[in-house]
Amino acid sequence: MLEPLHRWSREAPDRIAVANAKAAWTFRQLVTRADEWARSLREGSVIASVLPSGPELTALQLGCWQAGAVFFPLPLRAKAHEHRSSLTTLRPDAIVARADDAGAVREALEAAGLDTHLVDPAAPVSLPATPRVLPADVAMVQLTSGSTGRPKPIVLDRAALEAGTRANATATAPLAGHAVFSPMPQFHAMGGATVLEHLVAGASVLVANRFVPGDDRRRMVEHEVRCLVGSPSYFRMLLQLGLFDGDGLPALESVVLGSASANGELLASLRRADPTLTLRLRYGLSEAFGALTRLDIAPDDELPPRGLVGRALPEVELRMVSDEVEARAPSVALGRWDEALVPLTSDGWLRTGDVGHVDPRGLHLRGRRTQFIKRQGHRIDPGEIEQVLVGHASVREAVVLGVTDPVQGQRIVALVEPVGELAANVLIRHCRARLTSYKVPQRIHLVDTIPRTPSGKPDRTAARARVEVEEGT
Amino acid sequence: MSALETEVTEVVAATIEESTGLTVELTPETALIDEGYLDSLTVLQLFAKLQDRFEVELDMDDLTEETFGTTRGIATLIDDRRG
Repeated sequence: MLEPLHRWSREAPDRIAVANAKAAWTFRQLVTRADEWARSLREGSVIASVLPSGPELTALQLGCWQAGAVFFPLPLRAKAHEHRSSLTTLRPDAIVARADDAGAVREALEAAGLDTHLVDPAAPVSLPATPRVLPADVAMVQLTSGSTGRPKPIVLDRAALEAGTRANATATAPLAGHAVFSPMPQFHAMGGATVLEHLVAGASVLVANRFVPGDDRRRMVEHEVRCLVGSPSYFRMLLQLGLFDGDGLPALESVVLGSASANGELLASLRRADPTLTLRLRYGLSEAFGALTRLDIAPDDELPPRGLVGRALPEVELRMVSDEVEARAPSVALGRWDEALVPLTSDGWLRTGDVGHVDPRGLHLRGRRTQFIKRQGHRIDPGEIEQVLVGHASVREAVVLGVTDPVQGQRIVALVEPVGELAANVLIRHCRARLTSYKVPQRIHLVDTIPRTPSGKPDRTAARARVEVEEGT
Repeated sequence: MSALETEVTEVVAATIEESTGLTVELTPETALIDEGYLDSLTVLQLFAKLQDRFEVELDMDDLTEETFGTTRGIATLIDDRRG
């Protein structure tokens, strides 16, 4: 991973490596800063980051790897209680955050009684040696959403990162010397992998920390962006704003859509808006670094059937067990962290939770086995939101469901059984204070009783039927 | 605060409330994007609503941090467009 970046730093030292709206660093600057970080970090220590997407986050990540430390990216705008569960599950040795962004982390550390070092990237640091907790070859811990309501730290070793980058190299190699725009947060599995895959290829990666498409387009034109990577909901929003109309982005050649829910309608709209674009789909999971399958649709190709996400990348094997997709690849994580390392599989095959089938054209996805809500490129566990709702004194029971939404992929709808008088507005505010904004329900329906199973648990199937009546879908 | 700023501030607050359920008190200088009031969906709703309400045509290039960063910025843009 580091070797190609050092090579680009020698061969094209002044080429932009990573830029956000506020800073642009060349390959030489990036590698130099990574060196500085590496000198202040200890081998085996776990370094959490609460940094905005951009050059500093990337340098810290590379510095960690250079020093043999473990990089643990956390969401920039998470609330204190969300940070608290991540920080207590896997106690990092230090957290790097700018003073302006450190409030929620500081609150979380106090509440958890932890004395973890908070490091401002602007101030020099030197961290004490700490006993190693994770196995020697671990390079990164990636947070994901889990089925029991807490985000799960996924433990990736060096070999998985290298294998994932290698498998995706054929797709990114043609972008050497060109610019790529990725609005996905770097703490996010796909956002993080996208930056590294392109840097290794020698491309310049422009990232964004907020949705200001006017500024984004100006940056894309200025840097002659060839490729735009995003979630299906991001592309729907850009289409709505007419980004692809006319010759808005003259240098753009391809768009890459992450996540499985890119349906035929979205692809057709993109093609209508700009018939010269190559449409590229990628399918992956937080439990494996980089994409597992890719599908390139050239301007002359027929649009693929709904759900097709292409063939497995080199070194990736797919198989179906009943109708669930299982994957085996060197990019699959070592395991997840739960007091100790828990392997993801017992036989080397990762259960993806996705339902579909494989034919000679590749993998076709039909939906999720589990109840995760996919929204704006995030995978959201309804259980986490339900726990927050039930945490309100006037809520007896809550069921949270994803309802298909033409723009957002899914919208989050909650069915709530209140105790006495309660307004939906109050609950939304309650959620806002405790959840990152993308996890806050779009709609809360207050009902007299939530349907229950004979054992007294909420009946999700009946609840869904009820929501469909309430939503008029 | 000009009459237009007051009116824009009301529209922005109403859109945020509609989109997020959050009752907000805004001044013309409140940092709408920096402080997380305007997420992507709310920005899009606001973009449509401003054009309706003030009968102006806005372009996606108007959706910048400078203009949508504060209600004062939005008011300046609308004032400019109404010429």
